[in-house]
Amino acid sequence: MISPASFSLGPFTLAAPAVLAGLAALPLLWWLIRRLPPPTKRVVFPAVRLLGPVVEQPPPQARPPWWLVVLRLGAVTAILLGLAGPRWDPTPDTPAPERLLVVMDNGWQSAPGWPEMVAAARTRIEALEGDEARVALAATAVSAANRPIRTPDWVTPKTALALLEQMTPEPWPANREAAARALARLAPGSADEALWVTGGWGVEGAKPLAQALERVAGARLLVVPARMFAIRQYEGTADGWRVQMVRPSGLPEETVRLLAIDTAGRPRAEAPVSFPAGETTATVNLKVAVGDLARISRLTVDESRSAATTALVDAASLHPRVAVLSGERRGEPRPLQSAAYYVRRALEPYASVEAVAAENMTRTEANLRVFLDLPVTTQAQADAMLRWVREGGIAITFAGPRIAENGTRLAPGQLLTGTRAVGTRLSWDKPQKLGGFAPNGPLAGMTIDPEVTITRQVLAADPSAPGLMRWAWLEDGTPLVTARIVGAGALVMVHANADPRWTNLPLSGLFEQMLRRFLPLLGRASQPGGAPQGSFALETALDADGALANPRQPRQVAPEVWDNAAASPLTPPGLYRAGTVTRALNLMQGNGPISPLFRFEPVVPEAGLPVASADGVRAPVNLATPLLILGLVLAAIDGFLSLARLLNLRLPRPSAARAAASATAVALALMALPHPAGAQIFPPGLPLEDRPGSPPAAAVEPVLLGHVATGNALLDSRARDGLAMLTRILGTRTAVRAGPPQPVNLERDELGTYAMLYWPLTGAKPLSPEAAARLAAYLSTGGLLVVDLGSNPPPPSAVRAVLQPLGLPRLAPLNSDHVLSRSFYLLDRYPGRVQGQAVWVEAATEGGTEGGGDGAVASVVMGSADWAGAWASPDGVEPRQREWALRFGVNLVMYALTGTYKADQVHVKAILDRLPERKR
Amino acid sequence: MAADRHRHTLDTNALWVDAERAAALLGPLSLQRPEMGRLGWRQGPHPRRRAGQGSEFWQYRPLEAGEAVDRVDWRRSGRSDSLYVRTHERELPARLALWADPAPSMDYASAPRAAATRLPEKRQRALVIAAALALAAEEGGEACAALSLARPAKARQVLEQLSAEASGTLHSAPLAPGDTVVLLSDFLEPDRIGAIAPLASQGAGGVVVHVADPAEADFPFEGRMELVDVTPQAEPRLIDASAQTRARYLEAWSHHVNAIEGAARTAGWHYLLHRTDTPVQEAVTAIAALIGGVGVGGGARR
Repeated sequence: MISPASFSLGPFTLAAPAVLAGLAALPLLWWLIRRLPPPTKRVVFPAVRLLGPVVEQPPPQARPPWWLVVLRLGAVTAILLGLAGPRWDPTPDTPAPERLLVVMDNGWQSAPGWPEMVAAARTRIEALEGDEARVALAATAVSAANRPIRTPDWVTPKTALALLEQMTPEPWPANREAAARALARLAPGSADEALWVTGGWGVEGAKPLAQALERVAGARLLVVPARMFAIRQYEGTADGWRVQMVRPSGLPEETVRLLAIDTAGRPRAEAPVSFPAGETTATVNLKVAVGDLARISRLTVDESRSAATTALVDAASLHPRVAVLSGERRGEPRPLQSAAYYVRRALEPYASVEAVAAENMTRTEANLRVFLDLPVTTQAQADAMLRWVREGGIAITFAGPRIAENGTRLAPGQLLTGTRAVGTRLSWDKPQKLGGFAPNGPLAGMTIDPEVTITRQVLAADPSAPGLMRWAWLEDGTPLVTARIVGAGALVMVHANADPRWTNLPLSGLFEQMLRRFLPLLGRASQPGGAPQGSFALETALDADGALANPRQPRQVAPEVWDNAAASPLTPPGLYRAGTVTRALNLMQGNGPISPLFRFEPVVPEAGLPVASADGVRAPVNLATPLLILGLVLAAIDGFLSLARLLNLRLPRPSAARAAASATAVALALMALPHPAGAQIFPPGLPLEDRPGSPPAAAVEPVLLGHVATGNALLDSRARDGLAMLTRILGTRTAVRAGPPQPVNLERDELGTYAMLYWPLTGAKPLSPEAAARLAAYLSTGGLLVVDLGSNPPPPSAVRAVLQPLGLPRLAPLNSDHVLSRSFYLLDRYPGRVQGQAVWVEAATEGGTEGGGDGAVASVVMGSADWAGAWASPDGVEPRQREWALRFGVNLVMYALTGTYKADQVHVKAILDRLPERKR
Repeated sequence: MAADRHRHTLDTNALWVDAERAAALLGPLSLQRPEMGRLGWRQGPHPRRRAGQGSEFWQYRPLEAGEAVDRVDWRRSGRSDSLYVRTHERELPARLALWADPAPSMDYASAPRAAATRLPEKRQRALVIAAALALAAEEGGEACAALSLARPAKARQVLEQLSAEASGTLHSAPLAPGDTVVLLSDFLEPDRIGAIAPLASQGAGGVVVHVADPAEADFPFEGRMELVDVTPQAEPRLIDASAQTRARYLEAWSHHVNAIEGAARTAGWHYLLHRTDTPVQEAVTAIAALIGGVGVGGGARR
């Protein structure tokens, strides 16, 4: 607005022209500067006497150097001009109409340029003069579903400005036809000018609106360009998202940053999206760290935050990440006997599958975990896993001998200990076939393969327990697959093995189909059968600027129409929730405005209206601040130079002039700077941390024997002495050269270096979770644990309590057919200081009672013979008995080192029996 | 005043270092005696053409009454009836008399244009030259002395004596014919030029070294400024250092130079202009060439 005191010259205006009168003082200042010369320099010069006593004319007053005059006059001029408040307002002067109709395009495409559009409209409304001026303001997008576009009223410019301030861009498409219908009710020719302020994109309804405007008045189109982008498509990949972006055509090469924002609003990952010159689309793979994947809430473009560049991410868009955790020992058995092998082969085409060591169970990021005969028994692990399941994880457990023995806390229902064997030699009945699939479960509709039989299974204690779902069962009705919904996730139990020992299910195509059916459980576990529970209610709305806000009105989407839902006033984009399931509705989803073929189409040719200059929307440039800064900088330079002369600083003249010139240049550069740009925040470069080096391995002996430090000095010293004696015996009788035995702290020491751990177990203190995890890892990587309960064994329940966290399989008494009795010496007794006690080894191992001849090696040997005592000293032990003890010790070490290498010794009798027959 | 302050802080040790370096480059110095009729120069004792201590035979004279009999030269006395005594030509080292002007105007060095090189004051430069000459002469076996004391002394003592001299008129001890005098001054004090003739009249040869600051020779001033003489009672003189003023000064300067040179020539002495922005070695070598010669070894110290 132009006040009477102001002055304008074309686009250049002065707020306070009176201040310019001060410029009249400049000649006075110039005169003063000339009158006040710099002080005369005084120089000592003895040879001045040579000049003689001639009285000469006093020399004229010195003149200040030209640059000083320029500096001072420039400073004063700049300050005076700055105080006069100059503004450069390039808005072209157009004759102001009396009655103005303004239509604001406020669909989702207006969001990037909305402030400029409002500014342009405001400029036009402010330009109206006179008391009779009236403005009608209309929008093209409804602000809410129940507020249709109404015919605008004629209001005063002031009111129109207030209404304009309240307008916002909406995160759904504009409805220009509705706007045109509303405007049709205005009398033809009722306005002097009609202005359509638009961002310039979207052809839909442009023609009717243009016609409606033309009918009312001479219409013009005011296009406010802005940087436009949109995310056209996005899909989850194994390590992030593949995002396709689109922009208007005919633009030069440019790069924007695509960000993955987590639930706390922090960017977790970014990827540059480069549009080649002229290209309208670009595709980028946004990689997100595995640990962050589950925390990402939306994808957005850093340079252009709007609803079109924001893709809210829900669990359904997550790519399944499967972690396969196996309780199998000795690394990977032969592939066709490995449950992990079958599971991986079944799932790998559909998900990213990762084999994870059991001890890393809680550390791996996955949204679906498959436990293969891996009992989860410790409190900490079970708590962590159940928490993860409640947050949406899917835990699928396959049964097996270990789970049969130990149970698992991740079972949907209580399990009976032990297995049910059908169709074996000791049972009457035949192997069971599949009986059926629950029609409301994920396996519904699968065809029963008559070839599939089950010979052994784990039974649920109470198949009719509340909440326990039966998804598949056998012919006799015993459940094969049970499940329970926990929070947003689910616990699924397959009551048979995933390897072919108990059932030939893994060999059938059914197995793969079953596992595939489990994948979609992700994100919608609460409706495992696909049947939704209630409608989706809008929880958080996405506004046009791409920010999340509380919904203005409650909105519901029926689940059956969810897939066809599009961003609209009725179903605004945002996060919807039904029960525990969260779904995201985005612009680029379903039938939304950004289809897979979406392009930015310019509205100008479609509307066919004359285009008003877009320059008019440029904000006026305030020249006062840079001028004041320049004046102050020049004054500061002058002050500095004066001070320097006063203090007699030695400033050679040329450099002073140079300094003044460079300072002036700096001041000019300062002036040239636009208003401070918004600070850009870059993630600070994280220094690469030095990884702690692996412990030095040089000092490790080829073979190390360790004994678990119990804290009991007598026990520890006896174990050490016993192992030392055993080491000596090994040295004299075998090729094993073992180092001195080491005490081992299960919670701290590296266990992998020990061939054998001897554990004099007396106390009933249970293993800490940490120690249990480490010991379990040691055993699964081929270690041998010898548990000696001593001559005075604790009660079995105590022992069980101690060893429970290890999840040990069933143990069986050691017989003379076991490899352990033949690994070096052929033994039939295994005494320590105590004779005649049974020694227990893992049952399902080579030579064991349940051994299937598959070469399994026992990892645990347990007895109550006090072997270390016998090894340590001959006191109180018969020499012969001690010799047996030592021989058993040698066998233990050999077994630990060679495994089933000597398994042929077990079968030697049969082999020898057969040989003569062949020869005969 | 600045001049007084400089006087008190004259660091003879620092000057001595410079002098030693210059003397080492110069080598032993022997004084030339062209007026004695010997074309060549020799180092060491110089024959004095009179009886005295020396190695050269001078003359026989009759034994005087009361003289010790053992002084009789019996071989000469045998050829005649009277007794003769053999006398030798007196040989004394030549004396180098040095003087560095202690006037306040010598305590001046113009501000250098580039801060990297700082010009020495004229008096410092004069003292260094004097000390270098004294040192070289000492090495050459010559006697050197401060002009005002005339007593031969070690080179270092000569430097101390010269630097401790109070400003005032040129004071000279009596000179012997054949002495060599080196005057180092800017000859700005009014009595200095007139003092050359009396010294020359005593039979001494010498060199007048006019020590000048480059500012004095070039008058590099510009613009309006006040020039102050070093004397405390001097009025600052306001000048406009234009081309005209410079021309006037340069004329006065050449007049001054001519006056000194004329006085030196009249006395039969040499004249040498030394600017303090030229190396000290240049002056020392030029002076040495005028008053004597350097040893064959050229810088080898004995």
